[in-house]
Amino acid sequence: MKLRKAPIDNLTLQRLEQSLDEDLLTEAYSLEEIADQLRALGGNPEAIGERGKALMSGLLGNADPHAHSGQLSASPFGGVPVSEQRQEVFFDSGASDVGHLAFRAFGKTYGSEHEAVIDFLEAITPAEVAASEAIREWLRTCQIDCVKGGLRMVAEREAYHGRAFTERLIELGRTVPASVRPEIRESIDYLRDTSLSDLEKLQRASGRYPNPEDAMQPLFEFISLLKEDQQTKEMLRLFAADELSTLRWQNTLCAVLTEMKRNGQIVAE
Amino acid sequence: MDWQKLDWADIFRRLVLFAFRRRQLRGMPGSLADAEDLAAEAIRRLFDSNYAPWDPAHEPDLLRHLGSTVNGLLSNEMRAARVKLERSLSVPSVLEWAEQNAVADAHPDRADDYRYAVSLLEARITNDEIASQLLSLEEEGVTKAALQAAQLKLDVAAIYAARRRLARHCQAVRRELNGESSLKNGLGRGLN
Repeated sequence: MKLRKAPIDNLTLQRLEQSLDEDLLTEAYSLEEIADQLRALGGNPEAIGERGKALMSGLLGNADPHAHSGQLSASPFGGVPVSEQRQEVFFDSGASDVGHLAFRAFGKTYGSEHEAVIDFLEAITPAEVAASEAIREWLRTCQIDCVKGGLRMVAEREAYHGRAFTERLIELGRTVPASVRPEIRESIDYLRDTSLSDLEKLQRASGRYPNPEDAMQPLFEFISLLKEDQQTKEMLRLFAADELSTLRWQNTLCAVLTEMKRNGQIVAE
Repeated sequence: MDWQKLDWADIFRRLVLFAFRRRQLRGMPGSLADAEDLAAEAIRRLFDSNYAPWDPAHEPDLLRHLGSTVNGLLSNEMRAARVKLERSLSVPSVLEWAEQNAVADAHPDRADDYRYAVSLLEARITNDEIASQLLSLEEEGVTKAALQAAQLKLDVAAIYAARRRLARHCQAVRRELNGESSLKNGLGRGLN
């Protein structure tokens, strides 16, 4: 069928593009085409997909979030406040839209987004500083070169996280708490324990967070809820990327070294 | 609905791209990361009893439902930005900016701009019969690929392919217009 060719008077480019963009949600575009377009925009489609899956696994494992209370915990290297158990974390996604309702994150209810940000920064800042120091202590006794190389970088990261968050806390009119919160302290102290071997430390860390993406998801979700404090949001986004990288590094290295030890290729004691 | 069986990586990627384009179309600055936040928020609301539940009888397609949530979130964001602007109108420079924009929006040349944009698009697809016919259908309000396929008696795959071509041409026209606009007034406002 041929349509009568009439002058196009009432269609705007914007309206047309709106209609055509709906196709992104349909089979009109293949998986590859969607991935290509994300890449063209500077995105990493694989990572985006993984974050989507992690978000869903969090939501599906969180059917009755309000029934659980949460607590801050820590990552092996630096006190990232992620939950030990997915069920302990919940978020009220609509809260910060209006800025006056309760803001819920990490299993706690805050009066506002600002309060949640302060609580987070006050928990994380001394933890990052302490983790950096503990890793430096580990470095002094570390026997395995590849572990040493990674630890050097991780120690630097933790230290700069601590410095940057300190500055942010001061800008927000607060000071850095003098001590690390007890629930985080425990996940840092073993790093300086000379009775543990390098591999044992790595195994302890990886055993605690076998899936880095899942472990970091609560933090990514917290970040996505921040609407007002854009400065802290971007800091946390980069911080989360660093922490995810650290977790991936430690788990990969741990798996390799554990296998090598099993095969007698290293002593690693 | 067995949520576990859905390909959430694919759903999320599509939704992120959709949110990014929607932001662009509404002239809202933002990165892919902002689009990701929007997409995540839309999915979260699917499971949040504080929001209206998805009604498959009304919108059987989950992705379209999520797309519509993204549209709603963007509208809220724009409304919030307007309120913020109104509150800050006591600042003279902001007031001046708002007045300039109001004048630009009410400019009678705007309709001519729209026509010019579409004429550029028409020129680009003059040899693409299906795309040209789609343009006419879109103007008539026939925007669903299935309906367009029925009207043109074509396979829906052919319609999808033509719509993809049309989308690429639209983006090229927009780039062209933004370039012209930048050259003319140094602002690069384009036609949003």
